[in-house]
Amino acid sequence: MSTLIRTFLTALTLLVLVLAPPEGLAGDQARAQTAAPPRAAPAVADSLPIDKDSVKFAVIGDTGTGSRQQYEVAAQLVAAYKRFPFTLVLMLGDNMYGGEAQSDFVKKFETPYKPLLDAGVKFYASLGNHDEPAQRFYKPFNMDGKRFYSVREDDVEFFALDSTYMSPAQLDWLEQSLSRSDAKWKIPFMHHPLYSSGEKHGSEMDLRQLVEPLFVQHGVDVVLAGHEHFYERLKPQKGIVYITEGGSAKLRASNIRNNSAMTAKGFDTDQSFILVEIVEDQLFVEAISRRGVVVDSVAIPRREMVAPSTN
Amino acid sequence: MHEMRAHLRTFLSVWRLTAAAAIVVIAGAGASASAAPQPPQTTPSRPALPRAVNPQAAALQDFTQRLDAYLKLRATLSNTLTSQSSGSTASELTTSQNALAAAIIAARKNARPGDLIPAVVANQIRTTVVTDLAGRSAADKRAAFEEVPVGARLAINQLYPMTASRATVPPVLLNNLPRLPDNLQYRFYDRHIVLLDGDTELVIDYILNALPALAGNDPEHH
Repeated sequence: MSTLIRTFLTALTLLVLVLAPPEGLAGDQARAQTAAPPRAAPAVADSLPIDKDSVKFAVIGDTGTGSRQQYEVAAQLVAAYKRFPFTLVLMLGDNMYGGEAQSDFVKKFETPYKPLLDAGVKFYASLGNHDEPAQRFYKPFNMDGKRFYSVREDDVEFFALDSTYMSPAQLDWLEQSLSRSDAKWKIPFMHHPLYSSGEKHGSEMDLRQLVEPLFVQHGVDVVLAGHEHFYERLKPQKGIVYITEGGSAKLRASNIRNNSAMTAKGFDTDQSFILVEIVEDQLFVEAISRRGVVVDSVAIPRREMVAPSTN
Repeated sequence: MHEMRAHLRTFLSVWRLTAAAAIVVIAGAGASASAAPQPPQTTPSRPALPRAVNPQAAALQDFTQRLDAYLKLRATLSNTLTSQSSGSTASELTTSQNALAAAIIAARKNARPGDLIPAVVANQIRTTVVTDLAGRSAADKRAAFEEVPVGARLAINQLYPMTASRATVPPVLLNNLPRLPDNLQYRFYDRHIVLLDGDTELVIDYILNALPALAGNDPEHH
């Protein structure tokens, strides 16, 4: 009898080990876990599931320089696409630095990302503080003439915000759109970060005061922003994971405060971009440097809706 | 952007004459002031207000009506031009934006400060701004003025000066100011508050010296 019980307990223990989530996932502080230290490429297949039915997208920020660095990051993005066929790219603002003539759009956008554009990958832009609002009419940015808009991809809804001018009308729209959305994943993206450990800019407190309550109330899990010229994933703030990627062309080296308690993972020594895959209730993030090195890799579970819509 | 502005200035010189002539025909009686030196053509004639109306509320209603009239004028002008659309190329964008700006300038060539923002509302805005800034830390105030253009002369119908980047009006303050239609915007400009047409980047009205002198925007510090 005791042998039978021991066998049963052993089997039960093994079952629990297999089925249990990674250590600490239940806690807020540990919702985002760093999977591994930086490792050499190719590593995309190592940490992203690359499920055939998943939503796959890439994220770039502060890109519009036309510089060698932008082109090198773009080349890595194109290389990643071959292994990880994302369908869309989110742009986190500052899509055009300096001039915005036809030649600038060619040099700073159409040429570096041409292989992706030719492959039918759709780019969705948000406006940064260096961008002319007229960019919203530029067809390849897919903004449909709007400073703020949403786009749906299966169970994921993306909300592009114009954080340079957060008008009451935009706030109303955001609240209504988040409230109405029945997407499992709601992902706002904008230029200015609500949370940041950057020494140059830091957190946008005003913006946070107005926007964060809406994110919390309407079940947002992940927020993407640029502006700071580096990569940073923050520890969950009120249950939400904030990721900054403003280093896809520019770089503000060594600008992440060393002792920031908010940082879960930072990378400010080279340019970078992000790949994201959503499989059911898991969102996988991989940040990749200009050299093709995976500098962050994490799985973020979806939290339950905090409050049902009352609208 | 700088190239676009250079194009615009050249473009405007040609457009001012042609657009001004066109406006007379287009706007008709409603915009007849385009050919006259006064009064502001975007201000509609308003019926007398009931005595019991709260003066502040009445002023805000007046403000809204003036903005509506401006937007109506702009829509009329825009409809006569090649409209911006999501199918536009970058060069088409520049052309259509410049054409609309030129048409608005021609239609509002006699516009004066205060044509759109009534004095009562301007005072309310001043008070709101001073109160907001008084509650902010020194660092927060500096951040608010970090990218604000300074020193340039301010005039109706000029393009909002572009520095390297676009200054952000603090969102909490923005939320406490009288509400604007979404394609009109408040912007800081030196120590002034500008009412900006967000589609053309034209200054359409302003409030002088509405902002307190701070290290970031005090001309004595430049």
